[in-house]
Amino acid sequence: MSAPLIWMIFPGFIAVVLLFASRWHKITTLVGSLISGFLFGLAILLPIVQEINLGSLSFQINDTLLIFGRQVIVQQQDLALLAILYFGMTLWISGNFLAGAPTIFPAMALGIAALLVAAISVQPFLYAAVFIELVALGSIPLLSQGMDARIGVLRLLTFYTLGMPAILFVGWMLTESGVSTPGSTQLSQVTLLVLTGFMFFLAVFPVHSWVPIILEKSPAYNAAFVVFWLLLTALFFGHGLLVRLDWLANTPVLWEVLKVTGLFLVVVNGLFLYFQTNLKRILAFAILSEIGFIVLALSQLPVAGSQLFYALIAQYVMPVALWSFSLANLSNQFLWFSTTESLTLSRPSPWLIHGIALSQFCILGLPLLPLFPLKIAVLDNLRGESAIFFFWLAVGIGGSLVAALRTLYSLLRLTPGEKTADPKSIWVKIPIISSTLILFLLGILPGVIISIFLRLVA
Amino acid sequence: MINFENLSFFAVILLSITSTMMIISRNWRFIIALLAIQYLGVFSLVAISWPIEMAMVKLITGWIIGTVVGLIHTTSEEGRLETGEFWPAGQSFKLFFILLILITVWSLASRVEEWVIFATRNQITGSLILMALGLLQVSLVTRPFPVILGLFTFLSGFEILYSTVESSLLIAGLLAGMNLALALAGSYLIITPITPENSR
Repeated sequence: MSAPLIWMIFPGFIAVVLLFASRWHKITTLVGSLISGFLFGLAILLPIVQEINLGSLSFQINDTLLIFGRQVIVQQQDLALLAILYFGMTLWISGNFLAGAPTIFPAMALGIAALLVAAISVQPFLYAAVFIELVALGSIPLLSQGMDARIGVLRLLTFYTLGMPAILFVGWMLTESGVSTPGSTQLSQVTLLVLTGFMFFLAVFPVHSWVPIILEKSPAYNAAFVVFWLLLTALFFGHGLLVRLDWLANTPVLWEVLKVTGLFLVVVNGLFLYFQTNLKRILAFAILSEIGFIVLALSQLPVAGSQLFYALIAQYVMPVALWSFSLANLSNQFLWFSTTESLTLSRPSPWLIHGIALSQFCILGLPLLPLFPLKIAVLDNLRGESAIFFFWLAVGIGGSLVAALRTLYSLLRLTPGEKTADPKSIWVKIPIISSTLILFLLGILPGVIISIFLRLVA
Repeated sequence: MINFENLSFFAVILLSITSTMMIISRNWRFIIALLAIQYLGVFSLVAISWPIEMAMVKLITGWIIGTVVGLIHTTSEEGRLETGEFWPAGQSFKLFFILLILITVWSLASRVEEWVIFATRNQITGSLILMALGLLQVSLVTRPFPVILGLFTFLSGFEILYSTVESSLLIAGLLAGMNLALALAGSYLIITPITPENSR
């Protein structure tokens, strides 16, 4: 048995089966979330290329699978990524039925997970760009087909199709043309191509426009899923490049470029957040802004290692899922909604308001919530930076804070007196209450998640 | 045995004509035919670097793509409403813009030759023409059908250049699969009726 078979081929096969069974939405939701949870558990518990003893039974998980003469390798250090991926899929698939996602959601989510695993495990590693493009293509059926949303979808397709060739070409330059030699004349060309590719993959301003369009015009739950995981895939890919290419990691200017890119993302998207009134667009820019924060964590790889990067991403998964879940259910009750003016069908359930507010403040990194110690760690590692750096960082974070407060204020001041809508009874409350408990628990005991990732990455 | 290097200049001319006409024309049948011919040009430029059997993959993939997108387009609302004009009004400006791009690309090809040393001048020129005109097509419209065709034009340009440096069977298969997936995604966008916005 091999690791790619467990985390790539098996979920891919199940995705196909679920696709054919998608008319039974509840069953596919249950099967999809159980299988994702099972794969998450295996990623936490199973070591790769080590003897495993279960009573008298002894076996070993190989790391390599041969496909068309090429190796697909899932290594021990990839387990952290697999754990995050399948934890996220478990959450998203579990909530999809209650959030009103399309019936194909469980199948698509598992299929996308399988493609993501393929992206990080294919050899040579830079072929991953093709798989990232395939993930983007595969996610299209989950998005709305309204006139405006379609423009966003076409932009997504276009930007990913433009980004992929840049990365593939870099792959050739790195492996064949000897560009890795320090001081090589082609180094600037490679840098330019890498930056171009990642600009498209990470939706960096000014090629970010598809993200707010898709989130605003598509169902919030599906759109947040697509945007969040597409951007995370690009980050995992970038992290893989830094870990695998020693000469790249030994280029000091690279870490400075990453730091400035992270700051740029936080500031630009923070500035957008100051002026957003639509709740869905706030979610879109909040995700983009937090991607900037993760890039800042990536820039600290030589100091903090991969643990901080993985732990930070892992802690984002639940708040983003909760936010999109609450927003999707809240949107059912509104004919139109913005922070300045709203037209409601009925007074929204307080649990939905709670879900949105909690996830927003969690992502901001408030104390007692799980992202607080990790964000402090990222900021602590930046202590050598100038005052201007921190000024702009504060401007960016300020945008997220203003957006969170404005959202909370506008949701709380909705006209009382009308009957409180309680859609789909207690079943909507359960994920929100359980997520709240888990988030506070992780906030009080942050070492739990960090220790898991320390063990997996070690 | 055909020497594709001798044919490469004609292939570049063919690619220039097909990609230009694909931007200008609005008759979808004519556009699909142009796409099929364009992949013939792509095939002959790729065949300089790859064995003919592998280069055939590009041609067959391109023709499948054309068939899928064309068939889907006939059933779509957009396809039924099309006027089918061969030379619609107001296209002269586009033609002028395309000519500017073509001149720029021909002059840039020698610079790129220093960078991609394994490629011939005609491969580079053909590749750059397709990439530039594909980008132009994508940037001019917002309807799925022309955007998807523009992306195919851009990708086939890239694939010509990439074939000169990479001859792996896996990547050939992956790129063919990716093209087919793009055709399916594009067909999905073309055929799906436009729904009310912001349903949930």
